[in-house]
Amino acid sequence: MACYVAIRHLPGITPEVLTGAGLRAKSCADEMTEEGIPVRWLRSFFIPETEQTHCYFEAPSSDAVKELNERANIPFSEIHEVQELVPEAV
Amino acid sequence: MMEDPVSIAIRAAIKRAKRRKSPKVTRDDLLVGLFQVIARFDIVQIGPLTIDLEELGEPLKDDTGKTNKQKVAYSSDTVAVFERAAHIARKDNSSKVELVHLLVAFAYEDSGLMAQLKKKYGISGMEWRSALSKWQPVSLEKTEPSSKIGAGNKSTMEFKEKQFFSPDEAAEFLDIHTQTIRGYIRTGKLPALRLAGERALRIQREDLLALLEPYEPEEK
Repeated sequence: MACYVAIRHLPGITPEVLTGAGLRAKSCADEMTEEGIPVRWLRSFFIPETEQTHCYFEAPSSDAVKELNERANIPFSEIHEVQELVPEAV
Repeated sequence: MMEDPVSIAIRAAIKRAKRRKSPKVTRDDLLVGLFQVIARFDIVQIGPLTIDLEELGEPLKDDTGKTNKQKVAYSSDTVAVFERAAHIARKDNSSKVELVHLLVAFAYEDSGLMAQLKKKYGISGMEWRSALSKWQPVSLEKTEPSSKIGAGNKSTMEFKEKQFFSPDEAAEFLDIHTQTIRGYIRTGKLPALRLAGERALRIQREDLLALLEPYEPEEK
């Protein structure tokens, strides 16, 4: 399964907004998986300096990630496939 | 691994939106999803309030086995409820949003189902919050954290106060194997209840005690 990042620019975002978005993303991932589109929210990073949030998903396609974010009502500016690199692999 | 009650409630909300054939998961869907998770026998008991889901036309629906692929998205109003619940959780010094935080978030709602409930039961948002401040969910949070396999033996006191047991706890209580308990449930020898919206079983203390009968020695 490929890994994707959804990049969001969310100026003035609060921890509450992030928590609420997380709950919605989790439930939509579960629902889509039950529907036969296996999507998993892996983790998110918030960059305070740029007010950007990078959310990583495991999914069969970028369309699936797009759909998840639309269902969860979480705005995003870009979705890209990413190559994972971990210390153990180098 | 068992899903946490908040996830179950939110999924129940999505299922309700799908049943309504609505493209949006509304605040009412979320409130009903929460109620379905905390209800027993379609009754929600929060402090002095007794809410009958059947009367509301919202008895627990069994969606198992049916996959509805309709795409539904959270409405902006529902998003606001999530954010309010997260704010309440933070004020409550909780690292996670719990069922009670989501329920309290509805205290500020003055439209939809919550408005109907406020009118029907003659309660204000403050009274709703007050009832929830003393609320203990029946047999959900109370049992889950310590009921995981491998959590170790329960103290006598813990079992003494318990009214509902998971199959593992019931087995530990009677000092028999979990499979024996499950066998008794399967064959109808031991009545069991299903937690609303999930697969988990609970057994009542009195039903466990009813399994015990006096030993009659063969030779008197």
